[in-house]
Amino acid sequence: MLATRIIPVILIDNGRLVHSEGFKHPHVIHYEASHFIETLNRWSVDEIIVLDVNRNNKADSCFLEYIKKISKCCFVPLTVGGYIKNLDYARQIILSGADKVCINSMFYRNPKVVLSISQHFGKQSVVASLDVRKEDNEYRVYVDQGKERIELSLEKWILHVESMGAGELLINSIDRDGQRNGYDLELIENVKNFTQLPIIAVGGAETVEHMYGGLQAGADALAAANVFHYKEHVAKKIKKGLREKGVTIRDESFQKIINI
Amino acid sequence: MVDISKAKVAVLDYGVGNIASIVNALNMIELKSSVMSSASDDVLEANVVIIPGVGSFHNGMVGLNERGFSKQLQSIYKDQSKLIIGICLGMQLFCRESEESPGISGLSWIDEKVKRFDSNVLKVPHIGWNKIIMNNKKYNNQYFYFVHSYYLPFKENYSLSTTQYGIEFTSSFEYENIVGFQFHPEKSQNLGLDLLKYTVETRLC
Repeated sequence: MLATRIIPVILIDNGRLVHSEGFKHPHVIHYEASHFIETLNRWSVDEIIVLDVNRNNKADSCFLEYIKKISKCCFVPLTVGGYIKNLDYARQIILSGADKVCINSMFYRNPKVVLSISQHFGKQSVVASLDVRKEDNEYRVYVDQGKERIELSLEKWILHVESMGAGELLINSIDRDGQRNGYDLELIENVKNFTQLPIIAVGGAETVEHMYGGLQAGADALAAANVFHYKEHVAKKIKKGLREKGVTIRDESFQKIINI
Repeated sequence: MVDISKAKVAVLDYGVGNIASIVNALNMIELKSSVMSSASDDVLEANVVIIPGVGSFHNGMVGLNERGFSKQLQSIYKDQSKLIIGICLGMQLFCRESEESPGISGLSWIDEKVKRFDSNVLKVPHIGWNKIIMNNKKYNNQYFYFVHSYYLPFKENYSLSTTQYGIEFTSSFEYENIVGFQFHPEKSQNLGLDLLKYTVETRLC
């Protein structure tokens, strides 16, 4: 039986590691993001997602170097996203040590590019990121960092990203981003009804209860960003709490066999 | 036991692998590796040949054939002074064929057909951390990272470990001088790195 994955999301804005709230990045957590890398492998997390969230409308030139540094000391799966506009950039990301790419706007701007990435590296290497906001009692999907709303319904959009080669869905609630009041559970339930793909929930989770709620609502993996940076041993505590609730969790007390 | 820091490791780049991940892992366990992107004497001289791989069975075999690796691998196979390690797709390519790519012949060292998980009853691909059952205390009942849609059925005579996902399948195996991992030891944190190191240490003679 698969263990429930606990996944930190790391947001990088021009070499700085930033806090996210309402899709804005008002605080810098680490001015030099690479200082943070050393702590990564000590986390008992099951996967790591790193996103280039700079607002200059193009990939940050230092970003790939940063991914190379991370991958040298990251021995859990690494998913990387932000400004992936063509197969070549996806390839550079994978060559830099990522295992999967995370794609959002290109499913809208140029879905054939996503399909080519999926065909080249396999579906399992493509995580579709969906930024969702509730409006007039209906869930609507946004692209371009939450700026542009697409016309298709959530259900149709999910069918679209599946047909363009997505292997997993990262479901992000814009409303809950940085709010610390838990995942949008209704959103997760909706998505679960529309797809068989693994669902990674993100947006709003801070406590064990929040994480557990996401799981009950149908998420396969539980992600969060800010919470991992502000408290000690967060992953360990979340895992312990979830295990106490009977959730299948990978043991965090792995033997430190190799001195990293 | 040989000094594995002196072992030569060749990582085959045949167009479908996650080469950087495996090289990073080998560096961490202090194994000297070179990435080979086509057949060369260096491949034949290596003590350990690693075939990583993410992608389809068809693309994998095309990559191995076009780059001249298939022929070289056939000459290394059964040479007991050498070790061939296949990871994920790399391991599946050791088999005769796969449901993924009908009509395509694999390296055929294992006379088996690779099968697809039943997506009517399971989420496919099988993505995430799952336990392996292995006759080794250190690794038995521990979690390793999997990401695959096809699997090698359990066979008592070569399975090194098994894993449950709807059915019981071969999550690693050993046969002649080849070792295959369906999971990704290079992405299974410290225990995965340790297993990789242990495999090379114990198999090289």
